[in-house]
Amino acid sequence: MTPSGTKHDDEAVSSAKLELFPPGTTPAKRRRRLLFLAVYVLAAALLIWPVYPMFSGIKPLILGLPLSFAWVVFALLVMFAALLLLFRADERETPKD
Amino acid sequence: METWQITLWICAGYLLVTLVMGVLPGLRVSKSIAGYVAADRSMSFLVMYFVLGASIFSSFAFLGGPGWAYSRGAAAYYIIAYGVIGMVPFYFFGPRARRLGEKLGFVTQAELLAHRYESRFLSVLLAILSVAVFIPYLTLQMKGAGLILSTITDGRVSLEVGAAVTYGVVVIYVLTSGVLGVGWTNTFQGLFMMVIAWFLGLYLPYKLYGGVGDMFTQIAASDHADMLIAPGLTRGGEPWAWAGFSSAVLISGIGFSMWPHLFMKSYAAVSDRALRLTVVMYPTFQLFLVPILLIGFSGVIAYPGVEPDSIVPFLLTQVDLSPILIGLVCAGTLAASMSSGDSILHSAASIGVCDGLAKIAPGVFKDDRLERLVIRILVVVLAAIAYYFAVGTEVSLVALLLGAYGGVAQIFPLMFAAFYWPRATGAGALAGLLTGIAVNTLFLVRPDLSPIPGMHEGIWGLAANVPVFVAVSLMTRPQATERVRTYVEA
Repeated sequence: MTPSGTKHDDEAVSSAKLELFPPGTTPAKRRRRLLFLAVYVLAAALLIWPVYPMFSGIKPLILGLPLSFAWVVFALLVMFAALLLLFRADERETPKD
Repeated sequence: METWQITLWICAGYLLVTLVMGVLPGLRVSKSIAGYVAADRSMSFLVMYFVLGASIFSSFAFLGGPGWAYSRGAAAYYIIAYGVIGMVPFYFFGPRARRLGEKLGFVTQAELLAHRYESRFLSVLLAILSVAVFIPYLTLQMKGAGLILSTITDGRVSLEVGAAVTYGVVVIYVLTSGVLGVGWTNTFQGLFMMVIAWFLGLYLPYKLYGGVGDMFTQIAASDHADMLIAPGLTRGGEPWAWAGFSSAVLISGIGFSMWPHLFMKSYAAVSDRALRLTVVMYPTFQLFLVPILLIGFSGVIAYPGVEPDSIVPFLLTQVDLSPILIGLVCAGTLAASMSSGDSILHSAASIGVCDGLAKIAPGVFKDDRLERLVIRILVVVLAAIAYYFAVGTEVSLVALLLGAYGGVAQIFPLMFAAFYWPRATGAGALAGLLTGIAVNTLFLVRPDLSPIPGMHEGIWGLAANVPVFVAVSLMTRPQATERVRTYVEA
């Protein structure tokens, strides 16, 4: 699972490493992507065992929704916020498409 | 005029608007395959947003979603939960696929994978799988459209006629405009559905219980309280196991971005930015599933004992709504069915020809005109097959469709490795995919063999797929460097 991405020779194909970033990816962008990945895994964890069972009850009602329902909406909003931040940062880096 | 007549007129008006909106854009798109299948790679953010957004607003979401909430309670949150994680991989895969498509002329998902893994067989295999999955999917959408029309008119319009008329419209605009017809009608249909969903989802709890909070308080105080505790109930009314809920969320989330008809829309996007923005804004579309589920919950105390799949039309006939509103809701449900059905029909035919026939008999499809003609013929043929199943069978298609997610999820490792694992080889990809699908199918047919009861069969498929893929790749010769670098550096 070592990300590498600057090699251009045959070794880059015959080595069994994952290349999570294309060559020339800036360290800032790499950090951003890895951070996003962490939030993504977290958001997924919120929605499955063993995290979701801790919030699976009915009370309290949040904005009229049972806790178990509001929790899923909360996870959706977390993911939405993370995507917005990632997109804004990516935009700033490459103003043109 | 009687209620059902007003309703029917509104639906007819809706169908007419859809038809015009669907046919018009076809007049200006190029006559090439890239035009018919990928809209000349010109779709803006707004259209992309609605095309991808409408994919969740299928008959399944509009009729099945409330049905789940009504009969299985918290289990229905699954529909929202998997979408939270499902679209995100597309933020990374989509732009890469789009750039490669532009450079190498791809219009389908299988073209990309077959090129990366240098395997024509892979392309044909994916084509067969896609068409096999799309037919029940399409059948389900047609049945949904027919069902709503026949329920609302009290059987005066039969399911057969309802399905035939709505899908007649779909076939016409898919034939004339290809993916652009899908795009513009979905924008119209999407806006329409959003309004209807929020209106009904808030109005019904208010009308029947005095508000959303009051509704849930009443359910919690009744003997239905258990259904509100995640992960809800199984179809049989027993509490659903966490293993079942969690694995269903994961597998559907993994499979979501791999659906061939969704994935190939990346080629239709005008820019990387439009594609990324679509993924970023996707959760706003998903929020509309919240009122959709509220519709189902509103029936729990007020109307027990209704067949879950027909809870929406049932509520409409029970609650005192003006005929015009009923007509609009009816049209909204048709929109849900058609906006998924059109995309599936268009994709199934395109994939069947581009990835299937053209690869089995290379040399026949030398020019775009012939290829486009054959796609159009296949559009009609596939619609006819789905129609035959829609009016002629009683098989539980929902179960079949949910089973398909396990199969679609098996494509994920291939796509991921195409971009991020240079060492992946064609032999590995084929071995992994075939193993994954075989294991997935085994546990789908024989769930009693599952080591963890209730676990989604797709998990076992992936557990077999990935090790086989990696092992066979490492044992076979690496792919040509230049080709692999195109993908890793895309």
